[in-house]
Amino acid sequence: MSEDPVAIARRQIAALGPTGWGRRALADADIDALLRAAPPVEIAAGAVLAREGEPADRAFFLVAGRLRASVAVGGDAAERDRTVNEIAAGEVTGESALFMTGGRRTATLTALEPSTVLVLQRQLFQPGAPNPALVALESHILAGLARRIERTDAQIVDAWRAAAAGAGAPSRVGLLALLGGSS
Amino acid sequence: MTSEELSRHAERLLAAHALADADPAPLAGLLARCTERRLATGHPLFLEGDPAAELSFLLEGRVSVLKKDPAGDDRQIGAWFAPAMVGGLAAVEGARRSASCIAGAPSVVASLSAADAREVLADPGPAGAELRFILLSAFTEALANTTSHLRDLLSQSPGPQASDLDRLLALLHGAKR
Repeated sequence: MSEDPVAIARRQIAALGPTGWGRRALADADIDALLRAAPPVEIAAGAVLAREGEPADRAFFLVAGRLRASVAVGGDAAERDRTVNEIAAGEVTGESALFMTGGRRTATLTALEPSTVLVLQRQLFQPGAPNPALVALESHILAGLARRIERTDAQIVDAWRAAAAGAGAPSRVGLLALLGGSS
Repeated sequence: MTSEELSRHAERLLAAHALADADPAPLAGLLARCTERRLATGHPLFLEGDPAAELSFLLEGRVSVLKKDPAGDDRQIGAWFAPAMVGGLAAVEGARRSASCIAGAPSVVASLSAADAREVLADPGPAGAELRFILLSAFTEALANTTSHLRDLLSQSPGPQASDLDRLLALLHGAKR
């Protein structure tokens, strides 16, 4: 008999450890409440979770596996399917869908191996009924966004200062890497 | 500031962050805990390299965002217009300021220490929920706008030029050009 997917997801979340979960200790009941609100979905290797350009109305909390974010930015084969990020277990991706309206996917998300995600709907994050697991998840997303903003700022500033010092147009390869900042 | 004024500012801030239907009372309560400052034109809110010690809400006016170029001169990359949250990274990372903010017009800001902001962020109650949502909304919008603009630049010929980087920095800081 196959194991209950919720039980598997609970174990996968526990395996992420405290640093994968906003450095906050959560009770099993809190995690169960989150799993009821955002049931786990298993994704086969190679399956596409979201496509660039589609309307974005949900985010994904990867609790097991690995995802690839890719974009199509140019005419040649390499730039029609350029990997800009790999998402590891414990990360949230596509979060702009939760806090902005009318956005579209800026990257295609493909499972690199069998993976499990919690599908996070926008209404879960509207201020209202507090759930400690959601508060922890929001803090986890905030910390990840802050790191990305700081990293992106440093990379753009490097290019900005190099250009101002006479190094010419910014490096295309360096700027392409910044597209992995959000999906 | 009167409770009516706090409520009005809270409503405007919430509306600016996709929370137009939210109850303004929790955020108004948070604004009441803030230190109110009135900035004359040209007065700094904070300077690049300063410790990121406060999170601020720009309630009235406008602040310019400046970064130092390689010659050490301040260069304006954009501006924030009220209502806006300014310096939100302070509440999460506690790093140093990556840009200067100087009042571009007579302005009113309400500032909360980074320590107090972190305390509110950890609060499961309505004030914590609204502050988390505002920060999440501001950060995701900044990253999404930066990525979207960069993508447009990379899709066009001849690709990004040095002059495009100011715009990217402004978007990443959540400022307008």
